[in-house]
Amino acid sequence: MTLPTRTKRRRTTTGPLVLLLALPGLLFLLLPILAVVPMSFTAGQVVEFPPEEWGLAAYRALFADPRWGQAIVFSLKVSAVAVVLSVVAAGFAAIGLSRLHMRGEALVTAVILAPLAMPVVVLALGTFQFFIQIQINGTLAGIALAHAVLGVPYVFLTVRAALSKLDMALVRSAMSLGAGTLDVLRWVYLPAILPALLSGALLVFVVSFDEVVVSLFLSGPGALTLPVKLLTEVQFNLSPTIMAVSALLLAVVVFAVVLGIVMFGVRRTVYRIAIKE
Amino acid sequence: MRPVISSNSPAAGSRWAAWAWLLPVAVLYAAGLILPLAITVQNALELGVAGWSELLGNSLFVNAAWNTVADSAQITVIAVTLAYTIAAAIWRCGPVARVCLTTLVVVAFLTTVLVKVVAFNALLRDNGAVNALLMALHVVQEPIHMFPGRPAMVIGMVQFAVPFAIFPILGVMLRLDKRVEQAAESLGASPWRVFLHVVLPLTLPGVVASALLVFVICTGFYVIPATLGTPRDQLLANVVALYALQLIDFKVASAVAMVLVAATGVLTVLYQRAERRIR
Repeated sequence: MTLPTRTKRRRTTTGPLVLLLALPGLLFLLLPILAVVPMSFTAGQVVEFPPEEWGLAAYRALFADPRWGQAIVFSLKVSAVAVVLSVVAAGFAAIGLSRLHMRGEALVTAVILAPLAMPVVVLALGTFQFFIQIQINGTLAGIALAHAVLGVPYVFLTVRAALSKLDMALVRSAMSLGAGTLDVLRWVYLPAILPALLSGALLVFVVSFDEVVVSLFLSGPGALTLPVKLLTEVQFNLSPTIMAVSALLLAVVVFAVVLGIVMFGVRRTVYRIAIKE
Repeated sequence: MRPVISSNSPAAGSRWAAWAWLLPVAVLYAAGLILPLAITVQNALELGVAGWSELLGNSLFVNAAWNTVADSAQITVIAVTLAYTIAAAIWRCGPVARVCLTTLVVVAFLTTVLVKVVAFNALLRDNGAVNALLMALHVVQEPIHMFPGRPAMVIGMVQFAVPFAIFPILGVMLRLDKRVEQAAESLGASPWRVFLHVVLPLTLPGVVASALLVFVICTGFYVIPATLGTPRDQLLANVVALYALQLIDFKVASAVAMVLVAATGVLTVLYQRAERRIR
């Protein structure tokens, strides 16, 4: 008796069918986001899709308004500080936990990863109340600190994964050859975890730059991040300028993903994000 | 030469230094997590029994709580279904299509919620593109009122949740053993039967994990309800912000926040259990 040989051909015929079934979902996922781009090229005052008149008026208005520039610069500063704080804190913590096999390790890890499991508004409320008391509410430092707390889990996870592949014999050899802690850090740990630190830093930067809720609670007269400005503007009226900002934000994401694919290949950029989640 | 202590951790003499490694994160978390949470808990408790019973009878709170639960359930069902179709497509397609699809999903995933909200704001208006299209196709005679309102909110939240929902399901699908399917096919099962009796049951744990993940995300939604919904559609996170930023009542705000933490805590524990089963 021969087994049916249709098996392989059946496989590939279900491919197009499944793709067809997925089409509504895919279009729903992408079309709204993509619609932002043509809408940003409205020449008129009103946002519409498709635009009646095409033009760069929205972008010109955007670059002419200093308040948007201020918000972007402030956001960049906050995110930069948050990245530094979270990389240092999470990097040292991951290294420390790998060196010392303590009984409370699971608990410490759970605490470090806690911000991931918590609703952001709870953290926003808490830091808002606490920062008022120590008077760093509405400051760059305050917002950066809160963002750093949100970012630490990401760096911690990537560095911990990198450390699990590091052979501790290398550390021991270095120390037995007389290297002090700083030298061991510089010459053994750092090369091993540098890719993890960089990818963690990039992730924290994205999380911090896009962060809305905490930044909203902690905002002040001189402390307005780009997302918060966008949020307050959207709630008033939808101007083409907002479309221009959104289109630029989208361009940054697409650029980053394409850059990642070109530099690290599809596997590491796209699949790592997809499957790790 | 003295031998180094042959335990897995480096020289025992530096054990004190291990605690120093945790100092930066300890300081950061004390200021940014521990103390803030402590103050929130304290404020929530200071509300007292009277305050709490008043809160539980407060129509604003009850409304928001009900909205959160009902919307989350609805969004979970829709988002997980759409995510399943997309995950199946990514799984089944050839390598080129798979890369394209996954890249598109990742771009949607990384786009900030504000861009999505701006898009829906413009598209779902009474005079927006969606209504214009529906009327042009004669599906409806008058514009459907979606924005601002619950329809726009739910659409926005579903669109936000779908990329998150795809990943757990896709993970399970990619780990499926092809031979089980091939065995079913070689025994004469049609592709539909193979799906219904083999693929679907085996991917169910991923679906459960995905549903719990979406539910957790839904409980925390703030921006989408605030920008796409009416004041009556607000969710619990919006109520927290209302009491904290506008009514300046930290005690009630903290109490509502604690309710959110409790709900999210339970869901997260369930999600981690579901995730462990699919590993």
